[in-house]
Amino acid sequence: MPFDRPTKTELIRATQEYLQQSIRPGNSQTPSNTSTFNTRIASNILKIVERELTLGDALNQQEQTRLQYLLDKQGSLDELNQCLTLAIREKRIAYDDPNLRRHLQQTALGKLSVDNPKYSTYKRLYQQ
Amino acid sequence: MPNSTSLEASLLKATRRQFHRSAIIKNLQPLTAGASADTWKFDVITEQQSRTLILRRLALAENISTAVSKTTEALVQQAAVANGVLAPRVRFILEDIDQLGQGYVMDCIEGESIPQKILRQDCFAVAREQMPTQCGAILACIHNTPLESLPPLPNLTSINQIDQLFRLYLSYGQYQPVFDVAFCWLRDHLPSPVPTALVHGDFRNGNFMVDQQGICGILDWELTHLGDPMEDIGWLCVNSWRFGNSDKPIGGFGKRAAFYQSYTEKSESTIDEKAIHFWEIFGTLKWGVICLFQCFSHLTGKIRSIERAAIGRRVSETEIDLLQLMDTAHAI
Repeated sequence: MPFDRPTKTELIRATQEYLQQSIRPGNSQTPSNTSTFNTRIASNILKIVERELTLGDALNQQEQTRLQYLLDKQGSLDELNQCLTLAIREKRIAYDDPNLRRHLQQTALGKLSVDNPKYSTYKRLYQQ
Repeated sequence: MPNSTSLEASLLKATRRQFHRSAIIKNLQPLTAGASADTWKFDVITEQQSRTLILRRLALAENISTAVSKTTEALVQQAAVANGVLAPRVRFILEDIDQLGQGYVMDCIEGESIPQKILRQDCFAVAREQMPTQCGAILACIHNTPLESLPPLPNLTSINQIDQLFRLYLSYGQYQPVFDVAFCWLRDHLPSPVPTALVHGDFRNGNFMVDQQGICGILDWELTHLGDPMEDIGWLCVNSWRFGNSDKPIGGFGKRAAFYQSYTEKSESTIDEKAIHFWEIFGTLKWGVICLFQCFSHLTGKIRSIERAAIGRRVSETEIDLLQLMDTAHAI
């Protein structure tokens, strides 16, 4: 599971539904500050999808390679992530294992480069 | 849920019973802030005076299961105010006869509660300087509320809350390895048991009503419970409520030292930095699971909303914060 839900398809669907509703007659009751807020969210979502379309394949590939190395097995990205999560849960991998932490850090930074590259912690780590 | 015309009629009856039979209501309007309650602002005018009040009712919106009933929420807020906590005074609690469901009516405190405005606008510069000290004193006052003045409340220990959050996480069937690491870390680092206190449960920037002088009221008491007072401090420091000012752990407006000092002067509880660190990690994980919860309430069609959809992509923010916090566990 490289990127979290909603998937990019689900994000586009949510944005389309919102746009459809906002032009429906009789929708003028929505307070305008709510509508501005939601329009800003729609714009943000489209930026996330754009970044995922640009960066997603490479990030997924890197994550899969790291997971195969860490777990010493082959599989799809989803299978490997499930396998890793259960290994942590069942204490077959120590939660403070440095290789595990390094992988998780790289994965989280990769996801943030798509989800929110303006996030404070992301910017701080990126500058280091 | 009644429309605003029948709401106004029912509210007028309730208000007349509580204040005066000739009272009238004006300017009834919905407030958008606070998605887990149905909140309305209105003026009550009697021959003697006019005052602005807030009606807060149970919303139909699905909520995470730890929320107390609206009646309990009102009783806790009353007890806290009686102990000197700055919070809106509760005027009356709705009864069955009011046919308005569960809820209560309280004073309206004028001010700003949107964190980005409080943190960035020049008119709040003086307020921001006062807020760390004020926050410490107010939270101490909440934690000092006599337990015998409170209605029955759930006592939520650290392990209870971890188990409850873990079940919620599992229910979405998502494999988030960072969340599992955090659950393991928390189970291995439980704070020592401490005397139980009243915990606000959602004490953070966003629930503070602020005017130009500083905090003028603490809002949103629906997640209140009994437990470890350090829980509120950890939650207050979660990076998501610093809104970009990550070098100011106290809500994005203050350093820990000023807050700890003012808390210690007023509180019967002692600052325990290790426990606060635990609760900050717990709070970050809790916010991460709430992001999942909100996203799935959209995906499963319970509440289709673009806001809830987008929040699913904030899980990664909590993951990077969890990893940093667990990395610095030995050097607080």
